[in-house]
Amino acid sequence: MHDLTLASARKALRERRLSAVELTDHFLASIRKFDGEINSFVTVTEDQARAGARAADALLATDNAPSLCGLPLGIKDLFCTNGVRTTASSNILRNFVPPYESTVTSNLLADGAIFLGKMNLDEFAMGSTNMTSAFGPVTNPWRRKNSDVKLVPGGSSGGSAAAVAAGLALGTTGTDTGGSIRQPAAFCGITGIKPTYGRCSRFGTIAFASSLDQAGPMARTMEDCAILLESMAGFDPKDSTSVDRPVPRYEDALERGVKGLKVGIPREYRPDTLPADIAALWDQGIAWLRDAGAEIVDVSLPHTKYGLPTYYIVALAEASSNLARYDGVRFGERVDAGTLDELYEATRHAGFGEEVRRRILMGTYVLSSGYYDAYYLRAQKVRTLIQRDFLNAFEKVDVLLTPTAPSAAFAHSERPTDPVQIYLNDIFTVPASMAGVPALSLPAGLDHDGLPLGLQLIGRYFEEETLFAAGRVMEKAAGFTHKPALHAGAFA
Amino acid sequence: MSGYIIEGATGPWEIVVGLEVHAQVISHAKLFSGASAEYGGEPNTHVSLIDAGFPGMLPVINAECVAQAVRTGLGLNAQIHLMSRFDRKNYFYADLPQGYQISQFAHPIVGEGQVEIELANGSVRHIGVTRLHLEQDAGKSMHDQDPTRSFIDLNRAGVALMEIVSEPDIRSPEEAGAYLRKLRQILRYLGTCDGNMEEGSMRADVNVSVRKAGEEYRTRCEIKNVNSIRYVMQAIEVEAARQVEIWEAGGTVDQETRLFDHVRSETRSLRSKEDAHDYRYFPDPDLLPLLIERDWVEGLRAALPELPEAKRERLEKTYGISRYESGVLTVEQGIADFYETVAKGSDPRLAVTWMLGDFFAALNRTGATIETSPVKAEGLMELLALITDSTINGKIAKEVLEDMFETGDSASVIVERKGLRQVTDTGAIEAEIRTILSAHADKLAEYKSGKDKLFGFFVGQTMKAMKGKANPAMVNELLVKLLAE
Amino acid sequence: MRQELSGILGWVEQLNEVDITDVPPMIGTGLAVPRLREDVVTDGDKRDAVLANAPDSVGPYFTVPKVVE
Repeated sequence: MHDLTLASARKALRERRLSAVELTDHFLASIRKFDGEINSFVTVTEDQARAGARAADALLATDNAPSLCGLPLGIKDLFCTNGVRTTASSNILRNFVPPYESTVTSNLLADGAIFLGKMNLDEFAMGSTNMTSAFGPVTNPWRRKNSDVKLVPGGSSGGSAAAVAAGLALGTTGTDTGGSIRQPAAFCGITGIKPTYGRCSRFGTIAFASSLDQAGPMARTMEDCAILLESMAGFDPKDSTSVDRPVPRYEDALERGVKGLKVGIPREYRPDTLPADIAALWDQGIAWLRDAGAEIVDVSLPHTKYGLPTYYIVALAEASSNLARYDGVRFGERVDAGTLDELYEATRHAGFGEEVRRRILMGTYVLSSGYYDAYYLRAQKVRTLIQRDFLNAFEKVDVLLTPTAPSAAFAHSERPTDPVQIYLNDIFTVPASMAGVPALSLPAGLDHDGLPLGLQLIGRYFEEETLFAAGRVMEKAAGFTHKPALHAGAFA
Repeated sequence: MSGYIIEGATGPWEIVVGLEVHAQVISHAKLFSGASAEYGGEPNTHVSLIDAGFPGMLPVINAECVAQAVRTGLGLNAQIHLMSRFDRKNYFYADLPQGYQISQFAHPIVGEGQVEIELANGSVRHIGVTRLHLEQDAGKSMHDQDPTRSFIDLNRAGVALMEIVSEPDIRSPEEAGAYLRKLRQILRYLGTCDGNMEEGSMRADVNVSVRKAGEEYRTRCEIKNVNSIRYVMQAIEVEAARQVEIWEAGGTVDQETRLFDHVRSETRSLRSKEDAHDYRYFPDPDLLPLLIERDWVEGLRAALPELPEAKRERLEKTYGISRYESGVLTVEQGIADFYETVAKGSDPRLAVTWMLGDFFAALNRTGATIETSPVKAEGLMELLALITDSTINGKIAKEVLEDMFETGDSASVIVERKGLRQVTDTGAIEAEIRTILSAHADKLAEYKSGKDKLFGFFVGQTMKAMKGKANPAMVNELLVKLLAE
Repeated sequence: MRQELSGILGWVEQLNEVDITDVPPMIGTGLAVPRLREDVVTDGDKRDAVLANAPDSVGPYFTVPKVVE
């Protein structure tokens, strides 16, 4: 039996060549075997997954099986899951069991998906290496050629990316605030899409930066992402920022092709420091699209360089407020103390890791009296300029093509100590987050060390279909079939 | 100027007061969640996971709370802002689950308006309203149930409040009281807040400073959370006196937040300006700007009830009652409605005299309100009709009204039961008068020799003999005739 | 951490070179339509769920160290 994708597994289940129980058991066994080394799961829900698989098999025997019936997925541990511990990879939520289900996971469950467990992430999704998790770092299943050095999977959805890459789940959910789906997808050689802000409900997803957070799928192929996004997306009256628009059948857009499509190449995404491998791969991607009939257009997004500092001000300000609720009173870990103020201080000091505390401190600072105008308000104005850059570009072109990240995966030990250097990982992903436009990353090739590199497609608001169509053309051209060093192997 | 002056050693001081009133919005559900906004309830039962600030929970604005704020703004003759916005006011407190309060800081839904107040001496002043904005209430901490812990109940957390901020236009405790009473009256008329200060559905933060005539404002202190009109007036008085004392001793008043202790009748410092929170306001990214349509606002305006001032003027014009009478009758909408029902079916003058006199006295005596009164408008109307058609006289009517309050019987039933029907039979009255005149031959002689005052004595004796039931006009008429014989 | 923070602050200073004259702050993507909820009680009456994760609760209450006012 060949290497399964979500789409091929769905077909096999429908044709009863495979049972949901067999499929689920395969992934549970793979997790047991490989995840000790990868650490992509914070919690594995074996019993629930098996029970779900049995129910799915019963449904699959009827004509009423929903779209994702019996397909095992991993859920980033930022989505609240009813009765299943949800930690945000933070000590402060180490034992938090939500009595509610996020809208995104509710949608997936309603469509028959099976949850294998909860995926590791950077604490509260703050990071791009997955090293800030209170449950230990995630190890990228990829290795450099002739090297055993452990590499980071990217972040914050590092567990979600690593698990798909290593064959521990058919697909996973991620969340993307400044690149947290796209950058780990690129580092792990998989596909991930951050849809338009407002496309997926934020209800029940633990907030990092409310005006940026957006859920999206991570999987091996464009088709798999299209299938998952259709289930995850949709209007939710419980989220005031959710947009009331019908969800298209993304799968139907996959084979549209790019003939006549105008593809913009933003010159600001080619800094002098861009590694040659990445520059070359980008050129290769441009050639694939041109060969498939797209028109290539040079464009300028002049405020690109301000994306990162703007992002950090806005995201950290919102985070400092969003994380105020973790006070040890109603839920979460608590460190007892004599006074209320001491309780807050002790609880939050013990509960939050260093990076989270650093970001809360920064966010508090930029909002403080006298600094609001200089930092937060100014950043929100610059954000308008970044948004206008995209709107202007999209008057000339239909989609933008850029690299996803300025480097391939790096080693745990190579992680820069300067926070600003770490933040630079998000340089190409942040602008689309700031504007709220959809963007995806697909694996396009390997660098000289044999590590996967991703390319990013950015589209107009709510034109995810265009991204899937262009992404599919590139996916076929790239023929990316490389496997990481750690891989559960084909389903047998 | 209301003439409220503090005579200090260095001369007269004027006081400057502004009020921030927190009025709880009348609504079924909370401002951002579907949990009940009803007062009371078992602890932590009127709580959704949104109110408790659980991870991933998001606010959605309640339309009726917005409508109530707009109605209130219209009632205060204020500007309505078609675009307003919710900000987060960040601070940590035990009863603030999210770690921030969602409030309208930079862009309130209602802008400038004003409240007209009337003082005891009949003068009228206009107190400016700076703004009105919507915000969430916090939960409740209980400090007296455990030696080492405070207990938290979140039933109030997330209930909609309107914060109504006045200009520093108030110049005396009396004006502050009049402003609060008028504001409460308007809110009650509008049905946007029940104004119940005991249950905390209306409370005030009081900003007080003092100055010499013609000066700029001096430093003010804020007295937090005063929960009755009387305490507000007392707090202003003692705080102003405290500040005058400091200034006159050569000191300076520090800007700070203070609490009013009504038992000791003093204010004391809660926190200084240096300790003041930095609330780090910023627009709540979970909510979009609140946009409302002009047509919607006009629809709300068209459906507004008649407000106290307009009602007063109309009652005066329609029923010929005095300014004072209209003021009393419009204190509550229910009283005005009661009066109008009675006035439409009776002599309006007779109606106002009876309502403001014996009827209110009976309400007070029995502890009833206009709503719970055992005597309804129709009952009072019937009583007045019995007076008008001379079935009973005024004195008997007082007795009948008392009986109505006690038994709940109608006036005519009581009149029949007790046989109180007025005697209008000339023969019977004349016979009674003759008996009295002959029994008091001495008094009759005195009268005839010029002691006119004794006329009243004979009236009294006749009425007494007839148990008050004689028609007083007929008694007079017959006495005049018979005394002249 | 203080040094790192001042490093980050120095880095974001570059925003000062952007001309933001007459530029409004971005508030959302402009695509979501403001919506209001109906004034209907649809939630609450779930004290067990509300208190289930509390690190310390007494009867129907959450607790904190005694607050002296």
